[in-house]
Amino acid sequence: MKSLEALGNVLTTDVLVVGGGMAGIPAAIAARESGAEVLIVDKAYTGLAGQSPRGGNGIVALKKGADLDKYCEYISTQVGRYLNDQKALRNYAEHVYPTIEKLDEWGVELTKHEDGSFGYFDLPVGPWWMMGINLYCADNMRKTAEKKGVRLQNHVNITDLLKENGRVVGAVGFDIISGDFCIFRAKTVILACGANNFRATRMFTNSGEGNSLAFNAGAQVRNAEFVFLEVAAAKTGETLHGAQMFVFNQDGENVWDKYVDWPAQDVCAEMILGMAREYREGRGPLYIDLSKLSEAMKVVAGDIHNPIVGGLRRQFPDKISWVTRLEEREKEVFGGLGDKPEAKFALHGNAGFVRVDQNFRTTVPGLYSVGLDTGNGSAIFGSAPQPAGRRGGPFMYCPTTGRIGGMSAAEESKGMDVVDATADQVEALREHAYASLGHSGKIGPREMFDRIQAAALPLEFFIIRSGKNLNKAIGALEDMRQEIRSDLTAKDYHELKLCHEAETMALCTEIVLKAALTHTESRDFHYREDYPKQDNKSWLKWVIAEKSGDGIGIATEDVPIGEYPYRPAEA
Amino acid sequence: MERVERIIIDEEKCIGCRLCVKSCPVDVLRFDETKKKAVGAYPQECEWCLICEEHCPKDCLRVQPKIPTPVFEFIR
Ligand SMILES: Cc1cc2nc3c(=O)[nH]c(=O)nc-3n(C[C@H](O)[C@H](O)[C@H](O)COP(=O)(O)OP(=O)(O)OC[C@H]3O[C@@H](n4cnc5c(N)ncnc54)[C@H](O)[C@@H]3O)c2cc1C
Ligand code: SF4
Ligand code: SF4
Repeated sequence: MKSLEALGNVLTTDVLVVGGGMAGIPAAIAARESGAEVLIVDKAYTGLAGQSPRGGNGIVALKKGADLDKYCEYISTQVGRYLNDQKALRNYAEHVYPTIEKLDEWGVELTKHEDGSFGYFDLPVGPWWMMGINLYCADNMRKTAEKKGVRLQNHVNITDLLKENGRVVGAVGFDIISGDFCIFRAKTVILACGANNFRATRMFTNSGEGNSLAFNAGAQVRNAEFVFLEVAAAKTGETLHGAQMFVFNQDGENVWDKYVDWPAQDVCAEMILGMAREYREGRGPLYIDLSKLSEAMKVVAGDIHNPIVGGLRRQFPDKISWVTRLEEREKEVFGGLGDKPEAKFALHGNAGFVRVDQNFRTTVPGLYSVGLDTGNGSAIFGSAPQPAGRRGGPFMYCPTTGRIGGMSAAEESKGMDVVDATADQVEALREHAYASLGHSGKIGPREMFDRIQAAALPLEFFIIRSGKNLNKAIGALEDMRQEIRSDLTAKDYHELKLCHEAETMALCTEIVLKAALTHTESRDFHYREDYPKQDNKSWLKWVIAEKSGDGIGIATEDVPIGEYPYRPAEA
Repeated sequence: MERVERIIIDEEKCIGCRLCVKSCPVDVLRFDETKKKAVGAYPQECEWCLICEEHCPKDCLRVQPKIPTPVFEFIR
């Protein structure tokens, strides 16, 4: 039998973390502190890659001794609309404050008072607070991880997981610079790839490989139909924190006040549906009146140059320097946003639907997933398509879930042996890794992205859905599947990486739309024109997807609402 | 969807420290091993986050955004 060494560079560890971002690094440190050998592999550079070094605002936090009953009730009844795994939510909530203390210990800078105690900002809605966090928070933790002995492998794109006897035993990928094939042997693997952003919104670059790696290894995904949309400035394609409450139509009506009829704390489905309606009925273009940002929002998102309302950014030179540079470039190139920038929707994505239990184990033994890859799939926030249903939520969710998953994976790895995958399996996966290099040049990855977007991302497939339009988009994606396999062509290793991202984006989009087709009611960001009402009698259900032959198998599963403290009247 | 016009690196000033390469999340910047300078190899993927500029100790790198930045159009 061929040795693995003959097939590629082999690295062995106890815990392999795929993705060195805001979730993967805490997972790695937590696993290391629990005594495991840990290796992080990232397709870019651990600490500076991913979303966190572009994270603009703040982190939603719970104070020590916060009322967790109140928090869990609001999240279950309002934010997650009863599709929460309420036990996992409680476990998560209990881990939030200890994680804030850990972040502080691991070198992250958080807003503090002069006496060194944590500095929180009050928020108008919801039983939680905001904290400021420095821009290079993940890189600070990367340094701590390295000091503690976590090893890093940068610029390697993981393309498949290795399995033996039903258990994940490692992963394979290629070096995006040298092209070398890399084989990772591990006792447990943690996916932390930062979910799928459909390449729609500027700076949201992740393509969802946590979802596809887990799915292709046989893991279930859950709650995939819920996808987050945002209010963005048309000129920059960037989302603006707090702006959602100051979007106006051409008649001068405030769109938020007109449509949002519940105590929402951030952009919600009702707002996006309202904006869509305004455009459809000819009251666009909509604009954001920045002069109307409330005093409360000024504290959170305020002018960084003003020492009193500098808000979440004021203590962090890295963030001030970066935001100033962005503002100056905007002014230089197009005169800045002005007071009334045009408002559009942006598909924010962050669609991460790997199903995990409260310890962040997937449904496949040996495989864990943390961070945004599980934002939907953990069901902690129910139908909310991004953690906590508001900005600031992801930054808290990622390290908290990373810590829990890292500790669990290290525990499971204890006393286990590393198992080798067969050379036959590794060879087959190597072929998959490089397949697009051998194709004939019919279609490149950038054209493929455009085609996936054009076929499946318009608004009607993402928020104003119907059986008819979903079937149309699904058909188009199914047709593309074969083309991706036989014709998608890479000219070099950079493009090879893009080809894997295109394959992933197509798969993730198909899963989202098939879950949406199965879900015949409306709830949160999943709105069906043909089933416009929320139906708590028949639809306290999770839509589950799983690999089935060559395609996607879909099922539903009752939420065990009887076991949970918060139930709707109908249940 | 291309979001930048171009990436300009002043080769005279570049000291080849690679900090910009390491700060790019999407593999836009590469390092030319013969010249020992950074290159804007794949501007098509650039998101003008400007984090590379923030890391350049010589201030010799500039990303020129395309305005308006293409936003995926959802309204038909
Ligand atoms: C512009 C912007 C502003 C934001 N503002 C806020 C905010 O104010 N508050 C808030 O809470 N959140 C904010 N966020 C979101 C927050 O940054 C993310 O939720 C968080 O960083 C996600 O952490 P993660 O570890 O799950 O993913 P990431 O931090 O994105 O890390 C994923 C890592 O996985 C790597 N990877 C992916 N696929 C592979 C593969 N196949 N092989 C190897 N490596 C791979 C990537 O290179 C990346 O380094 C913002 C995001 C952006 C882009
Ligand atoms: S602006 Fe951002 S995306 Fe563009 S090259 Fe620099 S780091 Fe990379
Ligand atoms: S950071 Fe600046 S000096 Fe360093 S390699 Fe890049 S362009 Fe050159």
